[in-house]
This record gives sequence, structure tokens and C-alpha cells, in this order.
Amino acid sequence: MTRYVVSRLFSAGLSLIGVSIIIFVLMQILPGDVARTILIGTSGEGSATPERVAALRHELGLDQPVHIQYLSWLVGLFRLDVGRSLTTGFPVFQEIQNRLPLTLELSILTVIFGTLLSIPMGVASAIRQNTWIDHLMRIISVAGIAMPIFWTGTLIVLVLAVGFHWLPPLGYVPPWRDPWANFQQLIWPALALGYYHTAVVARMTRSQMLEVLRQDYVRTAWAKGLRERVVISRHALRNALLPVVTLISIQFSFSVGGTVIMETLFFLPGIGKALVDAINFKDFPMVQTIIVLFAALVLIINLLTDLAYGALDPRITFK
Amino acid sequence: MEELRPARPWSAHLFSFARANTLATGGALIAFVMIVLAIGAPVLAPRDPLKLFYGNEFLPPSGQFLLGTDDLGRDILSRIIYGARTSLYVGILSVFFGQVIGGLIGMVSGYFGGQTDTVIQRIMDIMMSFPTLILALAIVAGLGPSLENVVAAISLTQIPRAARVIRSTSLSEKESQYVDAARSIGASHVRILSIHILPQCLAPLWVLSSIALPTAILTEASLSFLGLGVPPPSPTWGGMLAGAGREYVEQAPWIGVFPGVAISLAVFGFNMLGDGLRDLLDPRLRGTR
Repeated sequence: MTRYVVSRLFSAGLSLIGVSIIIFVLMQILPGDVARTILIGTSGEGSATPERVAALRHELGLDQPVHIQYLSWLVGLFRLDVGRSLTTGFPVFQEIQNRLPLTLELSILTVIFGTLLSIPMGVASAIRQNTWIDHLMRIISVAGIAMPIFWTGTLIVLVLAVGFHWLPPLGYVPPWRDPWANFQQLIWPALALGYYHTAVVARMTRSQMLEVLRQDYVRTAWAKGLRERVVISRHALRNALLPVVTLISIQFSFSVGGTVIMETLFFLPGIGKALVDAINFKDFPMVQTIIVLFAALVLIINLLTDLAYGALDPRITFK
Repeated sequence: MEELRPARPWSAHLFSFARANTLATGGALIAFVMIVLAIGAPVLAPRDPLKLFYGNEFLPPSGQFLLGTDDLGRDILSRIIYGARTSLYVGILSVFFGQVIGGLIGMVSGYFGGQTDTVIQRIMDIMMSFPTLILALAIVAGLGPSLENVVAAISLTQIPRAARVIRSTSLSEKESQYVDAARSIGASHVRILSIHILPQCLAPLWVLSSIALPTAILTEASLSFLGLGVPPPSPTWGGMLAGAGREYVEQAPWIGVFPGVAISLAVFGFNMLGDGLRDLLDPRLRGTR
């Protein structure tokens, strides 16, 4: 088991390095000179004389060879000091620190909602195949997969505004300061994202359950006279859920991307919105660091899933 | 022999096929309508999508403007029809490039094996560790928002998955007897790859493309929603949902709702079409619906 864990950790670390290289290279292709862009400013009124441009380039470290820039950025990542945001002037890591709790909370809420709703839905759909429950669940699933999440979010806001004449409060309050306000702010994007999550996972759970329910050991359980609840929970569910665990981690990866959209739609000051703003303002220290952070999150989740898989299915660790 | 041929016309066959595969046929119809709209946009759209009809802002759907007007007085129906053009153009092009390039990489990687294979697979794994939208965002961030860059970005997000699947096809075909036979009579690698292995990769590529197209359409819509897709004034479904669609959702919901319906229908249609294609091309999967 330890060897499994160590090899997975090592592989995740390598992937993270690879990710940082790709992102760094992408940012280097950025057209236009960053120093000029900063000096000219967003209103186009700054002056960008060659001396000032050269001075700023030297200050930002842009005149050093590319691999030196990359290495100093990489070292900075480990020391949690990658310089300052080009738009706000505050240290990048401070900006991230301020916004990370929101995005994390949103992602976790999404996965919780999604999983809590989808697995019962999928199971119910499978054990009552071809009844109205099954058809209803399948329609909900198919609709959820097709609807873009920003539209689901817009529809939720529409229903709230027109039906209840109420809009979610803007901004963000951490849950430990005012849990009710926090709930009001985050429940809607979490529901919108969670709906997509639910649709995909419910579909998979249903097909997995259907397959497992046809297996011989389930037939044996029925033949033994066990109650339906016992057959499902003790025998069928555990085996059906294995691929679903993998799917949930894939979905987490999607919901990380989805938080970008949800935060933009609901005006939540999280990392996703920060990324979009940073891209629009060509704030490449922020862009680089946030993307590496997202990739790291996904890699960590994949790692945890691999470990969970290894724990749930002993056959895997004995390879 | 004449008595054995059924007397039904070909249309009856078509209808029974359609009834047996309702979802797939429905999806195919929706997809067909979308394609027709996209190609025939200049002819089918009632008005110029970019024209501002002053004094006609925020009109609800009516006989004159079938889906209403937006905050600048533009006809929403025409914008949706032209938006189909953008979405499908970006979607089909990026799927084409993504699958072809990814398929080639996977085919070569699987066939030659060894160190090259390991390195390429590593790179593909790293690319897959990004959420699709984030990767597309990063590429558009690096290159700047334009139609070509959006196509490039979405193609790049599709390459790793295609490479993975085709690589496994290539790996299994590499060991087959006819490849062995070809090798033994001195066929070159290029010949073996192009004549023997490539045809086997086509069916999986079709299946992959059918899954990839709806995803590509959604990614394009998401990028436009974030303001990082095809730049204005080109009408895009995602872009229509972003600014005025979101802002005026209480007073003029039609501005945001209709583009969303369009996206959902397109994704649903192509998804169902893809499901049906998969059932046709891969009979082993038919029983597991």
C-alpha cells in the first residue's frame, strides 16, 4: 500500500511540474509587451518611453533568460512568493488567499449536492427500471447534461427574481462569520453546478447498478430471501459505486472549471472570477499562478481518488 | 425469388427505424436543423443580426420580432441563427483538428511504443489534468481572443483524449496477424500505418467525435460567456447570455432564455445523434442502454 501511495505522489508531483512548464510557455507567447501594457495602463494614458519600458522590464525580471524566469517563478511557488499582481499591486498569494475559501467552499458544496442527489437518483432509476420514476430521472439527467451551467444559473436567478422577488445578496461572507448569509450566497451557484454533476453521475450510477443487479451474486442474495434494502445496500451498491467514485473525481475537475463560470455569473469574488479578470487585464503572474493552483487541486483530487479506489478495492493495490 | 422481397416502400423502413430509435432520430433532426440554420443563416435570418433598431429595444417576442429584441434593439432570432453558425463552425472545426491530430499522435505513439510512447503519454496525461475549460482559457489567454484562437484552444483540449483512445486501438492492431504478415514481407512503417492500422482507427474516431462535438459547443459557449470567445460584434450564444441576458433577466428574460434554449437544444441534439451513431457502429454496446 505504501508503495502505491508513494508512486502516485511522485507521479502527481511530476505532472505538476509539467503543468507549470506548459503554463509558463503559454504565457510567454502572450502577444505584446507586458511592460508596455502596464505603463500605458487600462485607460491608455500612461507614457511608455523606451527607458521606462526597459526599467520596468528589469524590475519585473523580464529581461532575464526564459529558463531563469521559469526557475525563479517555480521557486517562488514553493516559497509562496511569486511577486505581485500587475493590476492590484498586492502579492499574488495574498490575493489568492483572500479568494480561495470561497472557491473551495463552492466546489465542495457542489460535489456534496451532486453526489447526495445523484446516487439515490441513479439507484432508484435502476431498481425501478422503465417505470415513471426511471423515465423522469432519465429526462432530468439528459436535460442536465445538455443545459450549459451558466444558463441553469440564469434560470435559477430568473425564477428567484420573478417568482419570489428576491435576489441573492452580493459579495461573500465566510460561513464562520454569518452562516445564513453565506448559505444564501452560495446555495444557488452550488445548485446550478450540482445539477450538472447530478445528471452525469446519476446516469453512470444507473447503468452501473443495472449491470451489477444482473450479476450472479445478487441473484444469490435474492434467492437467500434477503430484503430489497439489504440486497441493494450490502451487495449491489458497493460494487456499482466503484467506477462512480472515479466519475466523481472527474466531475470535481469539471466543477473546478465550473466555478469560474459560476463566480462570474453570480459576481462572487473567488479565484475563478480572479482568473477571468486577470486574463482580461493580461495580469500574467496571477494567471500563471491561479492555473497552476487549479491544476494542483485537480491532481490532488485525482490522487485522493486513486487512494480511495485502492482502499475500496483491494485488488488494485496488489498489482 | 420475387416472392421473398418485402413489398414495403423504403419510407416505411425509415419510419420503423425512426420509431425504434426515437431519441437518436429526434437528435438527428435537431442537429440537422441546426446545421441548416448555420449554413443558411444569411438567407434564413429575417434581419441583420448586427443592426440596431433604434426605439425597439427590449421588445418581447411579437409578430414583428419573433423572439424579441435585446438591450440594443437587435433582433434576437437573427442573432441566434447567426450564433448557430459560430457555434457549429467552431465546434466542427475544433473537433476535426482535435481528433485528427490527437488520433495521429495516438496512432504513432501506440505503434512505435518505447520511450517516445512514454513521453507522449506523459504529456497527454498532464494536458488531461487540466479541466477542459481552464485549459481552453489558458490558451486563449496566451494567444488572445479571436475565432482562430478559440478553434485552436478547443482543438488542443480534445487532443489528449483522442490520443489516448486511438493509442489503445493502435496498440491492439499492432499485434494482429495481418500486420505481422505485412511486416514479414518488408512493408515499411508508413505503409503499415496508413494502409493497415489507420482504417481500424476510423470507427473509434467517429464515436469520439460524436462525443466531442457537444462538448466543443459547450466549451465555445462558456468561453463566449466569459467574454473570452469569438470577439464581438459576432453574435455568439454564450455572449448573448452574458451581458444583457444576465443583467436584465428580471425585466426582459427572453434575452437570456432563448440563447440558452439554443445551446441546450444543440448539445442535446448532437448528444442523441452521437448516442445513436455509437449504438449503430458498436453493436456490443446496444444492450447496455
